[in-house]
Amino acid sequence: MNFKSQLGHQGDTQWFGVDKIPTDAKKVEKQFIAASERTGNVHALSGNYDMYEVAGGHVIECHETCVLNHTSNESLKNNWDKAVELPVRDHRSSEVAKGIYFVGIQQRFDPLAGHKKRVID
Amino acid sequence: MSEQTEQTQIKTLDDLTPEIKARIPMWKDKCTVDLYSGKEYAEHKREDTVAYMNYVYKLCNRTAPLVIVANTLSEYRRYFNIIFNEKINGEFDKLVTSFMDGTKSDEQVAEKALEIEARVKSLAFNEEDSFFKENKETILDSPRYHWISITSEYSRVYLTWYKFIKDEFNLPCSKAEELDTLYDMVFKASIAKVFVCESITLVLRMPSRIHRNDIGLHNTQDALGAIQYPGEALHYINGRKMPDWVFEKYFGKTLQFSDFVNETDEDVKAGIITLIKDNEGNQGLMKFLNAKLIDEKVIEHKNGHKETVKLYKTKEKYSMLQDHNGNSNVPYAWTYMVCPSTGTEYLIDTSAAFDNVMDALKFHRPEGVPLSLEYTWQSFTN
Repeated sequence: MNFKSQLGHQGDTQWFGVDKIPTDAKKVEKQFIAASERTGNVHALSGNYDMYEVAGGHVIECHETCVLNHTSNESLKNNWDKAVELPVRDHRSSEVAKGIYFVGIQQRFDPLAGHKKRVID
Repeated sequence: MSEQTEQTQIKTLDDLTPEIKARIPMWKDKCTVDLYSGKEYAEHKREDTVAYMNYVYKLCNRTAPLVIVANTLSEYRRYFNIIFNEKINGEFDKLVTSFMDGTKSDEQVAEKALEIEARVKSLAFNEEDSFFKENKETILDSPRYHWISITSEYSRVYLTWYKFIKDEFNLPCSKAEELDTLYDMVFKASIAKVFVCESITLVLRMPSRIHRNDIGLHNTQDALGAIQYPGEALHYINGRKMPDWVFEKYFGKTLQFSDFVNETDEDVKAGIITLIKDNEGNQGLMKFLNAKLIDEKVIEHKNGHKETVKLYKTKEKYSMLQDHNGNSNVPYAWTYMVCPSTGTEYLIDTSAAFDNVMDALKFHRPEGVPLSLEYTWQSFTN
């Protein structure tokens, strides 16, 4: 999997254009990309896409333009397959064009431990 | 060799089914939730502690002791000295000796224990008294405890594991009657420490509140302590004991940078850092540590969004910090950015190895993203 571009970010979720879906990617059901541990709000994609699990994050193949929302769990119900903008919690919604993307979470560094850990949003 | 019956069959990890595994949190919660929240302390009845100790003594073929219950750490220390310190326990010793001569029923002992406990509380032993203040180093003993697996703060853990294994795997146990009884009584008994003798036992109750995080005992939200007794606080941050002065000064708003610099214990220094960060965020910490700007860049992203990003470091180096290359004795470092959606200013801890803010920002991209990929957002920045 080759990274082609740094596409965009919504909060601590970061999106990158890639050339293909890795052969070892495991297809999964649509699920939120990240959940805020403090508020319970979620970053989730709505629309026509397939989602795969890979090391470090997910690969998403958007078959058409999809909408990346930051919203509540409740708003997501019945809205996974429709490219709609849902009620905004903190971060603005964004359109994600047709293509293949890697999405992961911004990493945090702990200077007391000397290594990385996930951002707590 | 005879066939093993189902009952005597040795259980293995294969018998730990997903259903049994799913019930482990329930067992753990029974052990800890009410203890940590303070409900156990609030609902405690002295007679439950007495009943438990009587049962323990019975298991040892001993008659019921006088059970004295201390509600706080300072009470335990005071009672310990009144009861067991030969320099000052003359009056108490006479009380107990005269009573325990001859056979007494459990009820007589329990009733006398209440009377003696009241007497212990009223004895003229006030640590504020000038005599004791002047002489306490020579007169007062540090309290001691006896470690017995079924009368300590961990007893509930051992007994819960026993009960879990026995009941969930349906195993026979020749001591089931005794251990089941102890399990049924241990939470209400709420015993943290004991000092046991033939005729008398001193018990310290479990704390009135406990705060933990994933690492260990931890409370940075107030000065009440990670372990609390009424009027008493034991401070811990990420499982490490912290001196009282750190919390007293911080919450009393008198903590100075010089306090931090002059502290020689690195764990205490790390605790101070965590205390400030947990309450004031990285902004507060930077202000406290007097950080300086190392690098600044205005990025014009390909999507037209313009942002200013910065790299800060403290002027001082700290031996307990490491950069991402494993070097210690480095400064604190942060990248600064503003969320385009919310306007929130973020200071994200970064490695002190960077002197260039762009290198630091690339470092924080998700795992797997190559460093060679240019740091510029092409589409959305929210």
